[in-house]
Amino acid sequence: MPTRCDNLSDAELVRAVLNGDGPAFGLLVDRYLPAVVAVACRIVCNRSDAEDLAQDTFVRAYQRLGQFGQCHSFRNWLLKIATNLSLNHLEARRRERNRYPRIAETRPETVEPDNDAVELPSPTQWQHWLSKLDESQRAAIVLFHFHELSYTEVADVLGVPLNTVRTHLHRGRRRLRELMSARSVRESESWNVVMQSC
Amino acid sequence: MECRDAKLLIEAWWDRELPAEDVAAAQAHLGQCLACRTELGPVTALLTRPEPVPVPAGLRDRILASVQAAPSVPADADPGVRPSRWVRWAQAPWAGALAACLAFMVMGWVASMVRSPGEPNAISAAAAPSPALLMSWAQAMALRGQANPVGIAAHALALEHFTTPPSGAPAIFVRGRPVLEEPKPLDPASAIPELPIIVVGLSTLGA
Repeated sequence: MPTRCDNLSDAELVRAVLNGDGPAFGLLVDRYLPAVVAVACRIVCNRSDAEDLAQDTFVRAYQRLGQFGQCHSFRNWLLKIATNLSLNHLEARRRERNRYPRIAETRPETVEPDNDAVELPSPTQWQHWLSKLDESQRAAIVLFHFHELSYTEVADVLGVPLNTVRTHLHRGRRRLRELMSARSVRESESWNVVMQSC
Repeated sequence: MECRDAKLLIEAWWDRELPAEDVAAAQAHLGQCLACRTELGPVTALLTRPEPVPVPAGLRDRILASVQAAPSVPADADPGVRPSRWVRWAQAPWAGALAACLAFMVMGWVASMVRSPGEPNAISAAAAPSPALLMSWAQAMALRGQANPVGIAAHALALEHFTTPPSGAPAIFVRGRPVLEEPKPLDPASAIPELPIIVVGLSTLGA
């Protein structure tokens, strides 16, 4: 059942939270939890880590809600927090891997798909391909293609110049083409079936 | 449609810059051209139709519970800003070893520059002006009647040298470093040939 609060803008909900209306933050969580989980999952390529990162994102956003500039997009601000936490998590994991290689070997990573068993690309395989990319390229592709941020917004979220975003996207796409074009003609025909069914 | 043109259309499609009718043309080419479909089909499907990521059950409630229990932080704390590149490099495992190597190199260089008293220093011998020369400079500056800090400093150094007894403390400074050598005894006869040259040289300065 739609409520009065459902029609409130993000800025109005933020003001309500800052004025002490706790349940208003729950509405913000409902609105953006899928996007935050998706960003975290696609960048770190690990579902359990993505859940923790999504939780940390909203906790940090709640604690620093007073810093949110009302003229900016709350969604982009939230995705910026999620992206930074995800990239920091990847760096911490890489340092741990370099420092303790034996322990890192026992850590469960993304499940490797059985590439020969499926004809249609599965979600697990998409994660597989994204995990092959450089972290900066992966973050740029996730934000631009999967969350439809503009070049300027991606540059703002990643904190890099616009040309750097273009470079990340160009190199990431080229890398995906190199990896995925090695698939068989049979799978490309299966893709053709998928596209025609849209 | 040529494959070269189709690839341009497909890349514009990826950038969300393609009109709807051209998207249909690009899709049609991918359906007809095996080479383009093999090369670009899977990437196009990935970038244009991403699989949704399901939200885990119970995550919303866990988040709201965490929010209620979260401690407050200062208002000016950064909302998850990624550390700068320099901070990340400083945290790298090799940064400590590199810093130690640099520190040892600097310490070695400093130690090599320190000379025991009596040991000749090639730099000071070549660059240190004699006290008589300093006095000459100071006198020339005074004759010009200008308040010149260089002249004042040179005059002060010379006065210090001639008025204070030799105590082993350095009286000559080269590039801010004390030159640890005994000053040469003053020979007025050796200073006279230098005076005209200095006066002539300095008289042309600042004209």
